[in-house]
Amino acid sequence: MSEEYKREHVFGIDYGTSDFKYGPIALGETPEVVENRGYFVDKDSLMSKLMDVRREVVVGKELPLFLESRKSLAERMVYPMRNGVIEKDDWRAWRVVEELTKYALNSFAPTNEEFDGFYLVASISMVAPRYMYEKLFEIFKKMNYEKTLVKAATIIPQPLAVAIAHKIPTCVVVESGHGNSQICPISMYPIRDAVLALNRGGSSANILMAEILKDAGYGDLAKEESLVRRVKEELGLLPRDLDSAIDYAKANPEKVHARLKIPGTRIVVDLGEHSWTRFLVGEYVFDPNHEIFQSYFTRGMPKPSDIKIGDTFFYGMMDMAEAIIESVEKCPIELQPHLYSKILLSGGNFSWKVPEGLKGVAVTSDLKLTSMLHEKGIENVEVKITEEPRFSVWRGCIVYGYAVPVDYEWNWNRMEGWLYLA
Amino acid sequence: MNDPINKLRLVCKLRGRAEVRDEELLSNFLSENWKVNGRIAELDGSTVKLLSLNPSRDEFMLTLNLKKPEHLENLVKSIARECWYIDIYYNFRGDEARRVAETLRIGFEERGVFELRLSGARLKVSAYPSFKALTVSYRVGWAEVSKNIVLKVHKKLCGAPKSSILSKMMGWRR
Repeated sequence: MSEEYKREHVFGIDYGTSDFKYGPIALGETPEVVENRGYFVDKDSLMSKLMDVRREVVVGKELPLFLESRKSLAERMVYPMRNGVIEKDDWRAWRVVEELTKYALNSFAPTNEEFDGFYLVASISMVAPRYMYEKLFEIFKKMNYEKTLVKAATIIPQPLAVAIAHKIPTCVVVESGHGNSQICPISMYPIRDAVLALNRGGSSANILMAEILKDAGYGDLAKEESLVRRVKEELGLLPRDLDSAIDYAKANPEKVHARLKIPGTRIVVDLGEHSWTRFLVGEYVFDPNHEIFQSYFTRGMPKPSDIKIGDTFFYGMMDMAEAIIESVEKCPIELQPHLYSKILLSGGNFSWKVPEGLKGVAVTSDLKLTSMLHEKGIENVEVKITEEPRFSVWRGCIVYGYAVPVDYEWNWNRMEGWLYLA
Repeated sequence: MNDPINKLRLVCKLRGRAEVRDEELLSNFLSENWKVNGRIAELDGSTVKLLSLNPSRDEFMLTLNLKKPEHLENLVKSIARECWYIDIYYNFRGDEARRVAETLRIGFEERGVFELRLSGARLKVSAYPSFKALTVSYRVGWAEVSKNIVLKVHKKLCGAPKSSILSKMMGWRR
């Protein structure tokens, strides 16, 4: 198989904790995105039989068409990569991964006879254990039962994909997705011993946003996760300094007043006098230790806890700057200044907007982290948000697939190369 | 002509191995009017970025964000002498994809791969209508570059659409 064939048929998949980004090299800079979830249809129901619904799991853009009651949503909807790791025997999660992978590859498989499968580059969490690699390869192999979809496959950790996309061999990649955040120093290869994970991501901010909505009188809406996420993305702010931002908001209520109309519905969310709480949403992701969050914890909002998944410990309450410092300090001293001088922020959880009129009070993620690191005495810091942070992993997959030669076969010791499946 | 024109990707197959460091590659190839800064070069708002060099260092991939079509020609002419060939990839999305499909007179109802000729170039067109995406690629060597085929193809693909009867009647102009 020639390099030229591979170049035309590289296919990237980023198994994010919330979104599933996928597409061939032909898509240029922007992948397709669907939510990383699957819905198990009640096949025994009369309606399913009447409507001739044959599928066990529904994924992709048409998923909302199959949803039933809110109660069944909780029972039947599966988000397989919620924390980046799937338990070995969680068959429902693996089933969703299989269905999503097939959906992605089938969507773009060329119809011409020349097509002999994609060169698939998949990216998963840095903390994913080896059995996840094995299981994924098994799934990719299964893809070829009906027709050849995967010629060869390889799997890379998400932070490495980000570093590859930016061609920065020495850096710290902070990848913050929906379920968690991974801090990974890289010096040519990821320094696995120094990887640190936080049990906080976009979903933590969603939980807080839901509490804020309840306080503002939208308790009914707070149960709809996708709506809460939307409100967070549109109204949530990241303060430079939380105390000063709250003071500013209380002194200038009209400037921070937040109102959002949900298109296609009659729903309007108006935070009114609670608009100052917009600043809490961003702060919570970066540092949940401010005393103001105690009132939410006291009222029952779950505190991000320390948990162990597989061999990895996920810290709940450690602030993000502290986590970066702890991770970097596990690396050789000589390397540390180089790591601080290139910190790359990737993942949708770093896309905080700064509205016109709130500049200086609200900031972007890079400025927030720079200031947090300065406060902790780290100098010569350069923090950069990746271009289109949501897509940088997928872009890295494409660049990696392009660069790895066709004859470089998968090696389980180095965890790199192509595993031929067809 | 639409502004900005489009994002393109170029894959350049070198005659030999690149003996310089990645960061020096662009300055080696581009003409002096490009302002080169490591992996990125800029000319009057157009930017070119070195995305990757393959491990055998005889092929590299560039992404372009063009402001003027002439910059593409300038770039390709600068590089072509050192290359066996250059593959040029266009990625169109949304309405642009539909417009280009119309320009090329290919159906945009079903997924498919089409081959056709345009201004002396053999185009390969991949259509993904359900994602409103269309990829057009073609290969040029020095012979095609010297005949200005790159600019001609580019103008046909990215030029403003011909006016419809209705727009002529109503006097709409872009």
